[in-house]
Amino acid sequence: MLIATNLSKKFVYKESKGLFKKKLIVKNAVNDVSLKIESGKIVGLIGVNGAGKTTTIKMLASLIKPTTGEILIDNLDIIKEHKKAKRIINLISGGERNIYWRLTAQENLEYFGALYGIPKDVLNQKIETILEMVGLTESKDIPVERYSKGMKQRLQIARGLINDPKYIFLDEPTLGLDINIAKELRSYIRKLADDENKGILLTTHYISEVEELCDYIYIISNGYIVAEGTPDELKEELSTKTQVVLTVEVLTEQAEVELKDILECKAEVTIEGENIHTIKVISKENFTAEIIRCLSSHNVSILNMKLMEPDLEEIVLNVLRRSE
Amino acid sequence: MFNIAKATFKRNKIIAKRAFPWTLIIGRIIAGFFAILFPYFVYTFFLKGSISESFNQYTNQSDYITYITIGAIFFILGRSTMMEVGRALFRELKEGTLESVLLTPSSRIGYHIGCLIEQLGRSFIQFLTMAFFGISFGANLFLIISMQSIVVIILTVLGFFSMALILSSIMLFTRDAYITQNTLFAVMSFVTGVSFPVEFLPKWLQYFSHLFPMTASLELFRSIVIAKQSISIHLDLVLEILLLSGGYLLVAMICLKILEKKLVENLFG
Amino acid sequence: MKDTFKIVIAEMKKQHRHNFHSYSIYFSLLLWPIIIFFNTYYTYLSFDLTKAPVFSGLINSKQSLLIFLITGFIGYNFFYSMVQSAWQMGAERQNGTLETIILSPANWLAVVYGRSLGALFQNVWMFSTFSILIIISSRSLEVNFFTQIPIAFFIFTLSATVWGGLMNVIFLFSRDAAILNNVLDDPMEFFSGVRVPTETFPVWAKMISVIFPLTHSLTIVRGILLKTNIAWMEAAIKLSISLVLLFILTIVLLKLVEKNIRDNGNITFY
Repeated sequence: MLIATNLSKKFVYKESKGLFKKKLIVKNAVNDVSLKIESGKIVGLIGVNGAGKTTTIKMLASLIKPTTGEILIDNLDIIKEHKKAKRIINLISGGERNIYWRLTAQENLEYFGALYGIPKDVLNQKIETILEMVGLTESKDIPVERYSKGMKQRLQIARGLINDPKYIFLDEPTLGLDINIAKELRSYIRKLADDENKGILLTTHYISEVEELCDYIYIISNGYIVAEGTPDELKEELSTKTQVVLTVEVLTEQAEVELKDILECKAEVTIEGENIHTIKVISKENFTAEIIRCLSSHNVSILNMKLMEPDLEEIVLNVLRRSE
Repeated sequence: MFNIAKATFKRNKIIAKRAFPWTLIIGRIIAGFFAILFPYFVYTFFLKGSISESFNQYTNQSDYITYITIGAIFFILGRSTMMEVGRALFRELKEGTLESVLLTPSSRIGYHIGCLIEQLGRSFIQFLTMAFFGISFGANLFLIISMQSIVVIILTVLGFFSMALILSSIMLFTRDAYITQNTLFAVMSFVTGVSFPVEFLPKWLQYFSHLFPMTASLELFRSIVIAKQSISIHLDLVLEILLLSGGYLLVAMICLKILEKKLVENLFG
Repeated sequence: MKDTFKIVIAEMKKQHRHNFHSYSIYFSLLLWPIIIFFNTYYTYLSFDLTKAPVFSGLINSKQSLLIFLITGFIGYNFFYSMVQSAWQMGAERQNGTLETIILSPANWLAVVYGRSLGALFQNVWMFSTFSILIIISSRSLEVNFFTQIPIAFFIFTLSATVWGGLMNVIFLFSRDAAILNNVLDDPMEFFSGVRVPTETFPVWAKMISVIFPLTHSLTIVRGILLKTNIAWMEAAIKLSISLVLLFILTIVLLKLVEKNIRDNGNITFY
C-alpha cells in the first residue's frame, strides 16, 4: 500500500521586476494532502487546472520533494530513498511528449529499460510482452514520429510498464484522444489493476472516466483535498438533488394541491401540460414513494416515471464551488 | 510601399522594445571582438609585426590593424543586417504569422525596408562597439567619417539589403534558417576579403568572391579610408556594387513572388 | 558499476539513433570548420612566416602551419561538439524526455558522460577524417605516425568527454544557456590556442588559457605531432589537474542540479 500523509509543497520562485529587481514569490501548490493507494485499486484525483494534481503526482513519483509530509510505499520511505522508490513506481503522462520521436518503439523501450538497469535478455523478453499488450508489436520498428496520437499514448503506457512498477501514476492519460481510443485505453487501465494487481492513481478532466474506473476518489481544490470517498459514497453524501419526472394522465386539482402540500418546503415542483401532465420534482432527498402514494390515492394514472440519479459531475462541481 | 515600411518598422520596434534581443547582440559583439583579436594577437604578440611582402603588395602598404578592423566591422554589420532582414519572413513562417502577412496586398519590398530601418539603431551600436575595439587595438579610424565614406556605407547597406532578400528567399524555400545563414556567413567571411586580401585565394575563388557586393564595398572603403584615395578613381567598384545589388533585388523579388504562391498553396491548401 | 556502464552505452546508442539522420551536423561540424580552417590559414599568409621560428618553435613553414592549425581545429571540433550535445539538452527538456530520464533511478553522471561520448563518436569522425587527410598530405609519412594519431585521439576524447560532462550539467541548470554558449564558444577557441600559439601570449592571456583543458590537450598533441621539444610532461600534469578539477565541479554541480530539480520541479516547460 502507498500511504501519503500530510503532503505539502511550497514553491519559491523569483519573478524579475525590471533588470535587477527580483521579487520572491511563494506559492503553496499543495497543502496537507493525505491519500492512500492500494494494490489492485484505481484511485482518482480530480480537480480543475492548477488545483495541485500534477504537483501531487510528481511528489508521489519522486520527481519533486515535498516540503513537509511523508510518503511510504510498503514501509519504504520514498522521500529519503527516492532512488529505490523509482524502481517500483512509474509515471505516465498524457499527450505525445516524454518519448523520442525519432526512435522506434523498440528503441525507445530499449533505452528506457537500460536506465532501469534491466539485463538485456530480460529486457527483450519484457519489451515483447509489453508491446503485445499495448498492441504495438507490428509497428515496433517504425519511428514514433509516424505514429498516430493513440499509438504514441500506448507507447507511453508501455514505457511506464517497462520496470514492472507496483504503483503507476497516470496524469491525464486520455487527454486529447478520440473517444474510441480513450475507451480502449480505459480498458487497459482496468486490466492493469485487475489482472496485474497494480496500484493506480489517475488524474483526469473527464468525470465519466473517473466514474467508470475509480474505486476511490479524491477531489482536490486549491491544493487541499476537499472531499474523498468511493463514487457511491460521494454521491450519497454530497448529492444536492434527486430529480423525479413523471408523466401522468388527468391530474385532478385535489391531487395537485395535496402533492404540493406534501412536498412543500422540501422540494421544487413544476407541473406542465394540459391533458397529459409532466410533473418534475427536484429535491435533496428521494420522495418517490410519497409521490406515488399520493397520486395513486387520487387515482391518477402514471404513464411514465424517470428517476434521475445524482450526477457525479454535478457533485464535483458543487464541491469545488463550495470550496472556493 | 512607404506605409508598409512604416507599419513594419513600428511593429518591429515594439517587439524589440518588449523583448530586446540581448543575447543575440552580445553574441555578435563577442564574435566581432574575437574577429579582431585573432589577427591582432598574431600581429602583435606572435609574429611581432612581420607582414608578408604579398600583403603589402596587394594592399598598397596598408596598416594591418586598420585593415582587419574595417574587415571585421563590415562583416559583423553585414551579418546582422542580413540576418535581421533576411530572417524576417522566415520568422513569420515559424511563428505562424506569415499567413496574415501574405493575406495583405502589402508590398514585400516595403516590408523588408521597414525591417532594415528598424534594425539600423542596433547596427549602429554594434558599429560603435567594434570601432572602439579597433581603435583600442591601434587601428587608425579617424578618417572613417567623411562624405565619401558615407556614400560607400550607403552603397554597402544597399548590397547587404539585396543579399538579405536573396537569403530570405532561400530560407523560405529550404525552410531552414540555421544552416542557410551560417553557411552563407562562413563563405562570405572567407572569400570577401574580411581578414586577408582576396588575391591570396586561388583564381576561381577570386572570381567567386565578386558575387558578393561586400568584396567591392570593402575594397572601396579601404582605399578611401586607409589609402585616402578619391571615390572617383574607383567608379568601377561603385558600378559593380550597383549592378550586383540591382540584380539581386530583381532576382529576389521574382523568387519571393513565386515562393509566395507556393507558400499560400501550402498554408491554405 | 555495471549499471553505470550499461547506461553510458544506452545513452550513446540513443544519441546515435536519434541524430544520425540529421544532416545539420554535416554543416556545423564539417563544412563550417573546413571553411573557417582555410580562412585562418589564409589570414596567416599576410605574415612573413620565415620569421616565425624565432617566436615559436612550433611553426617554421607553411607545412608546420598547416599541422599546427589542423590540430587546433580538430581539438576545437571535439570540444565544440560537446557544446552542441549539451545544447540538445534543451530539446530533451522541451520534449519531456528529460523528465522521463529523471523518473528512472539511473545515475545522472552516467547519463551525462554517455551523452558526451555519444556526441563525440557521432560528430567528430567527419572532421577528423578531413584532418588526417590534411596531415598526411602535408607531412612525409613515417612509421611513428600510426602510433601518434591514436594517442592524439585518445587525449582529445578523454578531455572532451570530461568537458562535455560539465557542459551537459550546466545546460541542465538553465533553459537559456545561449549566453553561456557565447561566453564559451569564441573565448575557448581563442584562448586555448587553436589558431595562435599560446606560448606567445601575453601573461594575462596565458592566465585565461590555463582554465581551458583544450589548451593542455593541444599542447600535448602538437608536441607529439610536430616533434618539438615542448615540455609535454608539464602539459600532461596540467591537463590531468584540470580534468580532475572539472570532474569534481561536474559532480558538485550535478548534486546541486538534482537538489534544485527535486525542490522546484521545473524541468519541463509547457
